[in-house]
Amino acid sequence: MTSDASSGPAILIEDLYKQFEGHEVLRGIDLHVDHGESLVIIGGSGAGKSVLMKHIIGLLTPDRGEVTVLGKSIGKVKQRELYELRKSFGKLFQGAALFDSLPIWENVGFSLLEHTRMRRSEVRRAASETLRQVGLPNVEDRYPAELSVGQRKRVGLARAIVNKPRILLCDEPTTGLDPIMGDVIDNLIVRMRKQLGVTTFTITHDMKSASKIADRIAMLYKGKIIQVDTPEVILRSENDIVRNFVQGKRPSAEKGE
Amino acid sequence: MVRLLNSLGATAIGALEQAGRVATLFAQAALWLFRPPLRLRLIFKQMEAIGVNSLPVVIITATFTGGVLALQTFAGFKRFNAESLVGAVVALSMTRELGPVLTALIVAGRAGSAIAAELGTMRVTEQIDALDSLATNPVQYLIVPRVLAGLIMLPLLSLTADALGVLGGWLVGTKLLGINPNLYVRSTFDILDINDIMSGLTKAAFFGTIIAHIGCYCGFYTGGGAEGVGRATTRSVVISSMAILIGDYFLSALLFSK
Repeated sequence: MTSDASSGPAILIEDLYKQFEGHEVLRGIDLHVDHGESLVIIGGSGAGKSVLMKHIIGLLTPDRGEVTVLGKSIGKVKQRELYELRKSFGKLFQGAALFDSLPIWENVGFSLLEHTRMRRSEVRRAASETLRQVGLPNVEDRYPAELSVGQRKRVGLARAIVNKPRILLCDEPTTGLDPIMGDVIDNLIVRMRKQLGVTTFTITHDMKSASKIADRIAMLYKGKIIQVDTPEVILRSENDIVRNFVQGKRPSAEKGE
Repeated sequence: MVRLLNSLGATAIGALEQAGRVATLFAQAALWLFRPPLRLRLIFKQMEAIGVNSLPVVIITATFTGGVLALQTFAGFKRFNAESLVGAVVALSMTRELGPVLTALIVAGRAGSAIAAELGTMRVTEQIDALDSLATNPVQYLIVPRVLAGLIMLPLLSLTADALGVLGGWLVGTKLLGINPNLYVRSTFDILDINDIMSGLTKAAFFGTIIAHIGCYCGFYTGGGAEGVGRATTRSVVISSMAILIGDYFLSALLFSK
């Protein structure tokens, strides 16, 4: 594996450690995601999935180790460069995290309004187009509070892809949705990948969703990656912890906790 | 005894730590103010929220405060036949002290708490992280417009309060207490100096900055869900009210020392 900008993977995580107030959340993560690949991180609550994702977009910096995204080392780049790098990202938040004070079209077109010289009317048109792609026509002038959870999530996805990002981060894309709406979101992610060829990094504890959108699945357990492989292999894993998680069983080793 | 000292020390360190974080955030906001873009749309929106929407309460408070000042000073001054000075006392009290301070306390309760609640909600629902992820600096997008709006609007509100306080005093003094209107107006403008008004407005500008910034600070560092938002809101009102009253003393000492 080389760290050269052009030939390296889209995301490279090496020996990553992070602790909060003495509590070690990440304990030596090594992971890579190739260009155009879809990697899904699975793991229970509190395993450190969200913390790992925040390192990729530079909301947190490593205590030890290195996170390299598109050839740039997060945590070593200057603030200005970090913001520049973030323009290549799209992120779908768990609760959608739409801006309450802005109408839907300004939410979707936020990065275009902020970072391009496009006129407001042009941004609105681009936002409408992206909203159609996620199956939400005619909501442009409504506000986030007026939409259902599933609709908000789709608006969140539209906001994440409107600027044609190179890397798409999805934080629990199906959590809190009914199975049908969850399936709709999964299908959208798969379709966006096909259309845009975007590198996708997803965290979830929904196995159905994981096996649908993943090229590879990585299991995070107590701050470490314990297995990375294709969905087929993960689903028939020899590892007790992975097998228990995949089958939704409470692992016997954790009884004491 | 040792335990008492320990807890006192811990409180002091905590307060200092907090003051440090307030100052750091303020320095960041000041830095981002000078980097493009300056978001006029957001600034106007905040000027409306902080200034225009506080106007009705400020109008009522200032008018009645002016009135009660006239009423009370009249009762006292009558004892040594100095009723004619009521106008001057009302005008000086309003412009130098009560106009800016009462306006600031009202805005801290109304707008400062609203800022803390809004930013706190944005924090716990990851909207602030979303801004950061969308390559927009949250300090520049959220804090700079609010602090600027506070800085601009508080002197304007305060000036309104000054005028209405004087009007309220005039109404009570001349219509209710029967002071000669000409005498009242003359005593007001003979003694009132432009510097009285300007120093009051200078204080108001400081208060506006403090209220908006404290509201932002409390909201920005909210943790712990809906409960945390409630705590942040209360905290913003308590901290900025104290900052206003303590700051008022020192600013007055500084501005009126000559």
